[in-house]
Amino acid sequence: MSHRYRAVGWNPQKLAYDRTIALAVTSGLGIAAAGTAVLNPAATLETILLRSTALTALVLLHAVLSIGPLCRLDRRLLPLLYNRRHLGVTMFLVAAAHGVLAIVQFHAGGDAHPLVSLLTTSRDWSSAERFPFQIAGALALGVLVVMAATSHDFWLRTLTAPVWKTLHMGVYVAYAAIVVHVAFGALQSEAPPAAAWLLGVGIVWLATLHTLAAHREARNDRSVPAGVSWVDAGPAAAIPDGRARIVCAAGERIAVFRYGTQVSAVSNVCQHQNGPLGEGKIVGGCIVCPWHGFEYRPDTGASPPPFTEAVPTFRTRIVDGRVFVDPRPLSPGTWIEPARLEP
Amino acid sequence: MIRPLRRLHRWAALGFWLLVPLLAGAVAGSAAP
Repeated sequence: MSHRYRAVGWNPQKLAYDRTIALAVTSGLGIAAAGTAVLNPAATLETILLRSTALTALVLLHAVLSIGPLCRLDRRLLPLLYNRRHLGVTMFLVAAAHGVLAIVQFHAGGDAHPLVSLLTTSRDWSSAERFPFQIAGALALGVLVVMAATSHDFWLRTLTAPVWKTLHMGVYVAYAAIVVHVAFGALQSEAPPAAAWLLGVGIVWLATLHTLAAHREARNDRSVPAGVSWVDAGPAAAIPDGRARIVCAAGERIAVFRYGTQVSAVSNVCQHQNGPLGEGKIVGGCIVCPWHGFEYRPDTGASPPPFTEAVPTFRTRIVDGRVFVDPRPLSPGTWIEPARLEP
Repeated sequence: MIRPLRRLHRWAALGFWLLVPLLAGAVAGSAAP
């Protein structure tokens, strides 16, 4: 599969996700526009549009950045991750509307080309009153356009997952630029001070979520040192049917699945985008990655034909109802007889 | 329902790349006297 085209898997869940995004964006824009008009009766239509697109894009960006850590903290929120890219592209479109409106409103009236005007109106980087906050906004848009343009699965496959993921971590660069943009914009009264307060709340919220999620990950990763031949993965009965327990051994996460009376262990890392296989479940005899639905057979670690992905497998055995895993990985796709629970 | 959507999705994804020549044109235009 990795060398063949695989169509985007449209399904009712993704369509529902997109409908929710559309509804949230329209109501967000409406509420922000109404709020601006009520709080500032003298606001022109341009100002209302500028502020409502800014506020909506800012809230959307916080939503996008919250999804990752929220899913690590509570797996019931995993469906949020399922079409996060569409949320990101929508955020870019709203932010781009804000950028275009701002350029037309503030830079299109003079002799200079609007882009020249944007980049040269102020170059006083040391002054809070004249800091060129619009350049920070343009920089953020520049990062976001690259991400939006490479968000299709074609680019994920062409660039390979690690490169794609690194590129898309650029969202944090964009976020930093937007923080500067909004903070200095508010200082210069281009944006209402409330925007700066909202941003402050957003920064604290995101920092807390990311710290909590990192703490949780570190706790789960209390690793068994290398050299231990069999790792105790706890009682087999404690693993729900069709689900996994994740153990960490020699620095590698292993997903130990129980399905009926059988137990198999595979690498926890999905070949698609490093999704956590152990947080998925077995459907129709295959482990389904909770992120994007890639499938692997639990006993071989291989995707069902015609797909060709495979993850490493691990030997398992059951002693007195407890599952033990040999932490030495076998080649991806190696068949291992599942350990069996006494009926 | 799904197939036209998939086609639309592919065109929408491609449409982003129209922004690149547009931006390049805008920047080139801004350099002109």
